Amino acid sequence: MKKHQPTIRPGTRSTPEPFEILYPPTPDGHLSEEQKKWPVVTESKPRDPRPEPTPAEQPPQPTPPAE
Amino acid sequence: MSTGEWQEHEEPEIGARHLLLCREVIWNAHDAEAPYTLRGMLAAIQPTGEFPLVWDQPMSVFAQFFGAPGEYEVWVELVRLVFDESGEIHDEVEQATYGPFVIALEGTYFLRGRALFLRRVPFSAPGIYEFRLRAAGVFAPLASERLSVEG
Repeated sequence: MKKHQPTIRPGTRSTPEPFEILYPPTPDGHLSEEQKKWPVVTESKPRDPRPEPTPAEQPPQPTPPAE
Repeated sequence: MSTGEWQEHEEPEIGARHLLLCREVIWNAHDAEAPYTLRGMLAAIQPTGEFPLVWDQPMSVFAQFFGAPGEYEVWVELVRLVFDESGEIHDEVEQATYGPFVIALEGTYFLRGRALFLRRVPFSAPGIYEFRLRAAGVFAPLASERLSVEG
């Protein structure tokens, strides 16, 4: 069981952080022979659109004083 | 490379403060302070068709690493969680492993971001799945993220 986490150290960078996206070397090399036979699905079931967010409740307006 | 067996009395030399699941990670080439944009945070998907299946829509995981300078082997495991009637995890079914990849920490960056593009993600059945970011020599996952796969 892990007991400690390494601390986040102050950096001394002087150049922007390099960007890198890691890609699996092959499209299906991580799949087992059985999984390679499974159907490939690229679409989601249609869903009801998400409801519009409700506007924040407004506090009651003060009643103007009677003249 | 830090691939030695991790002993319980030792501190792991690499950590990750989170693992985030999204559709796409975009590089902001002109914004050195915020170089990454994550688009389409994913919590639940509902594929068409019958299970088992292989999901091939854009899906990525993003992590920010920190730790002692060095090179580390990291990988992402995908497991399906099986719960019992009381809601406790009863079993785990391994689905796939992405990697390993080598992450270099130079010690010059406060955090080091990395995105992994997941292709062809296998789901054997509807349920709750967990992506676990692991590093060689570290027993526990560095970070994890769950996804609901609905039938």
